[in-house]
Amino acid sequence: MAEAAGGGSSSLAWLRGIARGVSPGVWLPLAFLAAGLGYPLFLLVTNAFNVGDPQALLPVEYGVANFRELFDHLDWIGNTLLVSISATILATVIGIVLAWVLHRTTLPGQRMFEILIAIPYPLGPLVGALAWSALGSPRDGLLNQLYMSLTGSQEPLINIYSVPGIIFVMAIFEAPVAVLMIGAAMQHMDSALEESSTVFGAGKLQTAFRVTLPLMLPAILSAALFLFTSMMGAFAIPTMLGTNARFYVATTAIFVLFQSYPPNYPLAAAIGVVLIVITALAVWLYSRVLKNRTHSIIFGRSYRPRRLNVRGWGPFLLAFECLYVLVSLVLPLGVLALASLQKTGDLSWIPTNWTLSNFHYVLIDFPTTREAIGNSLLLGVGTGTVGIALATAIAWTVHRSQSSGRRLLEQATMLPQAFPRLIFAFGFMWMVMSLPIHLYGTLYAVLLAYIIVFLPLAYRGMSGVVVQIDRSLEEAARVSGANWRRMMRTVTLPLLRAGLLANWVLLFMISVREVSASLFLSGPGTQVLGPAIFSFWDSGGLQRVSALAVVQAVIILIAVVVVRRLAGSKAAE
Amino acid sequence: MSRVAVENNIASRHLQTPAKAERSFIEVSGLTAAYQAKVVVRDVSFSVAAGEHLSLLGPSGCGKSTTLRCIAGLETPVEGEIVIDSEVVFSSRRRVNIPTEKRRLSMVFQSYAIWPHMTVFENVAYGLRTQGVRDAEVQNEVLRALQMVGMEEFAHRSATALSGGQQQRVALARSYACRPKAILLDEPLSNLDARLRTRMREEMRELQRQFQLSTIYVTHDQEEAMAMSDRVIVMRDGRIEQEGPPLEIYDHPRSRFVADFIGAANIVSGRVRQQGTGQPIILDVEHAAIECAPCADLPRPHADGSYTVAIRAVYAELRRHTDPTTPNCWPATIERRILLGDIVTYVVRWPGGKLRVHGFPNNLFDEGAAVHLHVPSIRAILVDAD
Repeated sequence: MAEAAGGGSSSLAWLRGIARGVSPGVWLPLAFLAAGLGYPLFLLVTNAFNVGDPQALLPVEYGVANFRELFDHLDWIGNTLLVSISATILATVIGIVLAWVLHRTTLPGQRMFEILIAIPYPLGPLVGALAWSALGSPRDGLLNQLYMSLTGSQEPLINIYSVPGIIFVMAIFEAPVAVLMIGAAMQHMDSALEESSTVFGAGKLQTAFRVTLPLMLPAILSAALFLFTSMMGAFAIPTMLGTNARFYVATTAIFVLFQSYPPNYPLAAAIGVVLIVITALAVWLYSRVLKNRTHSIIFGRSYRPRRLNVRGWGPFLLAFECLYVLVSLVLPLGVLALASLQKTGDLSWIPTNWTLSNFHYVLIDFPTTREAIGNSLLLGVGTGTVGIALATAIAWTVHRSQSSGRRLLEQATMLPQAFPRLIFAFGFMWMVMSLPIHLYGTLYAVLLAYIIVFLPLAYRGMSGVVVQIDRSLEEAARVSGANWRRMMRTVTLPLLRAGLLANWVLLFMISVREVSASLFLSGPGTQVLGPAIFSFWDSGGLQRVSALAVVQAVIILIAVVVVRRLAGSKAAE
Repeated sequence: MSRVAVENNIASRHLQTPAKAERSFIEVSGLTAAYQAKVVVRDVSFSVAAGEHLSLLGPSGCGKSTTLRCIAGLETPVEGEIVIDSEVVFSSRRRVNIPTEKRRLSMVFQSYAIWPHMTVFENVAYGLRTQGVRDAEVQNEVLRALQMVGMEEFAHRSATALSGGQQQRVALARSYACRPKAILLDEPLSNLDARLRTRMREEMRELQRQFQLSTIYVTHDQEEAMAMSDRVIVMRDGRIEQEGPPLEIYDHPRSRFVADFIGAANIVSGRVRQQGTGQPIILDVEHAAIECAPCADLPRPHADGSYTVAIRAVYAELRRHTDPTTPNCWPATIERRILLGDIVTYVVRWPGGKLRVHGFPNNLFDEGAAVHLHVPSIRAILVDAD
């Protein structure tokens, strides 16, 4: 953006010169992003200043009354910051430890743990919140029941409906991203940097604090920033675990204002704007801290990092890994599976009391959930296909073309990541409603929103794939007499295939589990899984909502297996 | 070695003309190292005298880097003993394994391992600061070390803003500044371009002469090993193949592998003609008989009973005229002339087959020219066959 605005010259010749250099590969996606991301944000901001008719799509009167009203509800913002910052710190610490254990120690079973630790993220916060409310609810939670019956205590062991509970569940379900991002940096660090530190007389601890940690700082901070933005927009966990305790964060407040009658759109928009400002501040702070640390460029080459024999610490670290897998995967899936087999909302251990009727109900009998499952699969396929196609085209333009404006395109593509998804979706809903064409209430609206919010992720994945393909491989095909189409068919696509498929499945998974971006856009006729689980949780009873959550988890687990297969076959090549 | 002797020894290193100690300063004995089940260093023993520059030379995978890393303490050997400055730093028998950071060595890595989050100054000061040296002294020592490599103006630059050659210089300054017992270098020049490599080679040799620190230098480049070392150890498959001063290894390779690996040599095989003791050894190669350099025992023959002789391309001579009584002189024709710039390589057909001969551009022979090939008998070296 700075490039476009920075020139400042109004000369027509200059503009024409720029236009000639900018190819359709650059301006088409830019126009798409400007419309799909820029316009919703514009609507959000203008509505935040709307002091006229709160129902009006385009404000007629401007003022700051909404922000003044927000002063009475500063606790919403305070709670959001409290939860997001604490959960970010916790998830980042978990991420650092797990990434280090996975990539830098000689502990056994790291390949298996690498897979298991990654799963909670695609399972998603909705499944996590649902499972942990069944595990840790002070009255009926499975863990509390077990604890009370074992010890005879009248007091529950844990209360998940609390601020620490919300922070804990948020952290464990977002931590896999931190493991992935920090782990990638750890794998790419030249271990000679640490070795030389010990040769020059520094012990293990000194080396960790003076060399390893400072070198990892860019990766750690960028993981933390990603988590923070994502947690600011988190909806499922604070709603399902916080509403009982009347604990509101910004996103839950927006949803309440949206649902209340009459809906207070302007105040909700004002909250959204404040959240965006906070995220922007975080991004600014991040770039400030990393200003003089441009050294991530040296991590270009792949090194085989030296693994540390942790000896006496081994059992503790292994226990930590097992504990993480237990609380983020085994217990949640276990309790959901158990609950989905029950005839009533109470949990029974006796198999003769079990039934499969809940699955029959959500899969076949009840049209809303049946439709939601079908729609979600459709959306997953659609987002995967269109999103990856768009991301591949952008990655190709950015990394392979000489067109001017490539950097701008890259920055614009990564921009949606800087906005909490629920806030964006709120603005997007407005845009859809204000359009003259009939888009609101259709799956296309949800699809479009998904493509925009997941574009940064898809782009990141695909540019990783594109840069790995050496340009000379294609050039060799051309020199050998292949035309462009033949080159694509015989060289480029076969090389891209594994990466394309892996990223497609990734996009499919996160679309299937998404709730924040579809909450405002789905409704009668456009039911999708996330919001359906959410509204079912409000009304349907634990056994049925668990069955629906298990269906979603099974879809995700199958996709995880497929990704692993693809990754495995890629490694075998 | 007594404590006093050791101290004298260290003190002598700082004199202008130190007497090279006969005693070994680093002693490696029976070293065996493995990665999981794969043994990469087998029963290797050698020593480095105080102030000596020793090179470990060999192709990739020969175990030279692993040997160096064992000395630094970055790898743990399976067996053996390592003594540095009369302190046992590793011994499998006595169960001693002093951690890397307590060995007081310094090392230059192939990737330089310049910490990108520190300035040049902080990089060089690191070793001194871990030793707890006072700030004022650190300041002086670092600037002196940077001056030594001509990098004093860069002291407060970020380490990422440096070129490869500059990083190399900082890595050298860093390893000299911390006053180590010995310097270990792991292929330090392999990431530089050819011209810069030649210059750094000479600069490093100069530093080595000034400081008289014991140095172990790992390289796969024979030129580097030749130009910089007091002594060279050629390694192959985890074992020592030959050990000696550079010229001795060049002139008297013990095996076909060493002759091939160092310099350009012609490898010729033939039958040894039975001769009485005291007589020169004659090797029959096709239609020629070569008189070989005398040796106490015949080397290991090839499986078919033939013996191998190595003739360096620079030691074979081409002459336009010759005295017919000279031994090892044959009529020959120039088949190919390859102009390489500083030298000219001729492929020569002679009664023994084909031979590569190096000449100089000031005295060119044309292709097809009839010449005389002369190989002085002391330059026909019988070597171990493979």
